[in-house]
Amino acid sequence: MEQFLLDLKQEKFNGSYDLAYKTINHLRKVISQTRWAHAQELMNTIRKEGKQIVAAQPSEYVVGNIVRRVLKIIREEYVRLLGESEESANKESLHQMFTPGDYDGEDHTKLLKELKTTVIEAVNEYIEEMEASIHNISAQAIEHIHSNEVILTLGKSRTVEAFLKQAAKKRKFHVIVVEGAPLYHGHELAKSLASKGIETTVITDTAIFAIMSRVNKVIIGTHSVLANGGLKAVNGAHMVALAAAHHAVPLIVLGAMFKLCLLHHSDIGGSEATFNRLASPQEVLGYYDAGSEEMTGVQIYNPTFDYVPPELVTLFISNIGGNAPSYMYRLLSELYHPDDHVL
Amino acid sequence: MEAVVIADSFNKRFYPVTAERPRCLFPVANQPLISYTLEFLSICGVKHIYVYACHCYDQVKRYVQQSKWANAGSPCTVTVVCSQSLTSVGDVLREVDQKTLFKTDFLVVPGDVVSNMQLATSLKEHRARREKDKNAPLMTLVLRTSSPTHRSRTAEDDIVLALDQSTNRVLHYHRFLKTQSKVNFPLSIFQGPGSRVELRYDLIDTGISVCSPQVPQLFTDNFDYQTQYDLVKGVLINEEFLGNQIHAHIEKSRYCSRVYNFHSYDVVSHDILSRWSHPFVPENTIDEPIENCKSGDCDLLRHNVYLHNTCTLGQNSVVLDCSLIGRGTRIGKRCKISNSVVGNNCHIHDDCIIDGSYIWDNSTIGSNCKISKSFICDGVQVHDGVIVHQGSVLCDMVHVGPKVDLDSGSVVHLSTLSNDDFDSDEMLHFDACVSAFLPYSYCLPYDIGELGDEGRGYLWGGHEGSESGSDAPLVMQMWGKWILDDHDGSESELSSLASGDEENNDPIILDDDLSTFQKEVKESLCGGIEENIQCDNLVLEINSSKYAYNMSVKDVVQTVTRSLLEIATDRTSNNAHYFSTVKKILAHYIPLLLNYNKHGSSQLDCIYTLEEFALNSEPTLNCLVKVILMYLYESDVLSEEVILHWNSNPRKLTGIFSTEEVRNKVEKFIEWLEEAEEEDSDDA
Repeated sequence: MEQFLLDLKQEKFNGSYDLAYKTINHLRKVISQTRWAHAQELMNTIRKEGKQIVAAQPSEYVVGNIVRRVLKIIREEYVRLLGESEESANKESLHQMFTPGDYDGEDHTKLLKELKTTVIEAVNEYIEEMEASIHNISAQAIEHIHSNEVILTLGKSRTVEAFLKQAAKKRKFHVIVVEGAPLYHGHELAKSLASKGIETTVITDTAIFAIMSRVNKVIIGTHSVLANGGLKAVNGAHMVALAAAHHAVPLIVLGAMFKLCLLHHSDIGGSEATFNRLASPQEVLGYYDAGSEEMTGVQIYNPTFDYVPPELVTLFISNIGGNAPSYMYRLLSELYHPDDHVL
Repeated sequence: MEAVVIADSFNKRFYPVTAERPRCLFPVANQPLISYTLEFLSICGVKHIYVYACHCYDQVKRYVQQSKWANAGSPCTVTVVCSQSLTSVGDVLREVDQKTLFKTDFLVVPGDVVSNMQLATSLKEHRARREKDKNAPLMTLVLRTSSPTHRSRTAEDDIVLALDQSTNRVLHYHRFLKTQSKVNFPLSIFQGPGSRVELRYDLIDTGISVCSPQVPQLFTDNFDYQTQYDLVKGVLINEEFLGNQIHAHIEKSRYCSRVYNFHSYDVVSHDILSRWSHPFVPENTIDEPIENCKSGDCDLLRHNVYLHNTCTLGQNSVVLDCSLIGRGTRIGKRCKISNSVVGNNCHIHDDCIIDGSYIWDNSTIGSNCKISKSFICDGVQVHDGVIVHQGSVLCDMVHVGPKVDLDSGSVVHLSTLSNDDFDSDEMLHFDACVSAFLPYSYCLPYDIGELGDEGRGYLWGGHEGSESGSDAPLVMQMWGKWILDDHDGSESELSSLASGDEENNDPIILDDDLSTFQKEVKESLCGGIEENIQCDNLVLEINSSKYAYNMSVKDVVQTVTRSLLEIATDRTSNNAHYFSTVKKILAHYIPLLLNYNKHGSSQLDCIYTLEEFALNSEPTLNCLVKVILMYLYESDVLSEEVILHWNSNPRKLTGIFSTEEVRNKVEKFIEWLEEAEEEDSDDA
């Protein structure tokens, strides 16, 4: 437990998939190793644990998503074991929603022997789904990338990399990689794509607008997808999205379902610290130079993320298929239980 | 991996702020300085940290006990070692050597480092070098690049390095003293076969070093090493015949700085607020136990302004670039705060202008105050209309005002300083006339004239300031920007402190010195047998210890004699072997004994020590005649006059056996001696 929290705090994880995978494994351990009598007790434990791990890294929404997802799984399994149909349990009638007082959550205190095994099974299934998500997303590549298209992407996303490589097995197309200063992950992506024989061009961030006119599609990855369909993506994404909108180029966003979160930008917009991550200015301008006399009074910023509003996103492709950003709210209600929105 | 954190600076840069608070617990960006160091080490994967605390050690200990490091789930163990007898980094490492804490490579880190480096690379380099060559690579210094005009540079840490380009071996290490502007490089460093030498003036010593287990031993062997710099210098000078090497690891990208004077405090705080030390930034509370950390506590706004969500800002008050306002702080109307850190639970009244200042916890600033580039500690009350000029320091619990104008560089304190403290203080570098300065004491009235009607506190050197005239250089010196004196100063200060101590409580210190001296001598004699060291070298070693501890010749003779017998006793398990062991040891050390027992008086000392030892040890008593006296007589260490004199003048010595028994044992030998003498005289 402590080790996991520390790793989180010290950002010892490699991308959001790795983080999600670690979180779910941790929660599975909690389910199997802690003592609990009934579903309510288990949910309380998960919630308590969840609060702590969310607090350790509040800008990583994936953690919270996984916690909510696990709570939802427990609810589902509980209801299923009780013999009720899932449908009836999920759907709240309008009447229920608007009558105050008489609805105060379901009763989850019945003792069910098989609950532990079924919950763990369901969690395992979910882990399998996560593991397969990159594969499922890239399997849709053929439908979106056509021959001789020019694709633009920004920085390096593992999902985008797999997606493009999958498409390259069947089609021939051209990829323009925006380098993504100051981390220059784009260079890595370009190298990797070129090694698979994909025609690749690297451009600077400043050339995005100039080159956008000849691009057929923009495909980017994202850190997370907010409840309104907006994105929290690597910095520069907003610029790419605006340029794409100006030239009427479709913007396709790839991301597994676990990146979908319940937050709205306005929930977190007030504070730079929780939405964005202002890293050390080192990559922008080295401390060697930044400390010299002439530079006193100069402030240097190195934000990691951009917010991309939903109206700039054309399509969101997840492991269960493509959806418009305006449909996100529907997916969310399927993924998470309304009682779990606040942990 | 293990590390030694030296949580004491052994100098007085921050005096009188440090009078009642150790430097490592200063709040930097509202978190204790040492928490940055500990967190940094734990992130680097250090599993066990030894914190050596000296000044105000109880506070350090309490802090660690209450921090998250004391929790069961803490990723590394933090052990606080308290000792007030340590006076330098060298002492700490000698202590480490005594306890033989480390069998493998370890880190030495000053307790005032703020860094986000990954030490793994420098460790790996160090280990790779050690694997290639077992003994030669002794330590790896971690240095950071910075341009020559970098603001984090101070005159205190102005170094030039000569490095071997391919191996990063340090060939020459020079620290500038005072206003020195010339460096002499030994010609030999450029003459190595095919070596490419880099001369670098763009490095800052971070104080962090990866040390092999031999380093503490070196400190023990060379009692005069006070700092790491002494060691580096010593090793480089002796490189040819000791074969030790020092390497450098140069960190180009990550952040690493030390807080060692007011100026660097200012720079480091500013860097933390500008996020150079990410992830150690104000909104990530590193100090708190991980369970109650709420990262949302501190809001980061534009222009690196951090506001704790429980602080309140009055109407039309603005907080400008690079500022941090702590928990529960209230700020009145129309205030302007820029480039400053305000601690927890402070109260700033209306219409204040605060620029580039550091205000610690629980302080109150009255309305219409102007504070620029100053340092205001805990619980200070600044009354209405006070103007604090650049470079001032208001120590804990001081009251100032109302309506006064504090000169630039004034230091106001409440601490109970004696004259001695004043003399030994080197922060302000008083010249000779100043050191004969009026003594301060409790009963003196507060300096109301300068501090205002409500003032509570004394102005540090305030009377002097007007006499010596120029305030500006004084301020700058204090803030460390252009400290004229430096490294040397801290050393001389230390020695003066040490000598001062001796005068004050002579007997205790002397006893202590004697026992350490004895221990040292015994150790070197012991080592001498094991490693078969030439007696001449041992004599040198013992002599230098003698001067270091200010021992008399008598003490030395007694100590040497006693040590030899002790070694012999230690080395024999069986009484039967005792004879041969003693004989072997004596045979080895005859030249040494000859050297010390040239005069009759020292021979007498020697023989009385022998007797004293024999009184408490049966095997020695038994072989006193047969081996020891006989042997020493034969090899001219003891003359017959001395032995006879000793025999006829028994001193009152106590032990398990009586002096008579000794006399009985030696009876035959004495008789034989007397006969021999008679024969001699007959012959004549």
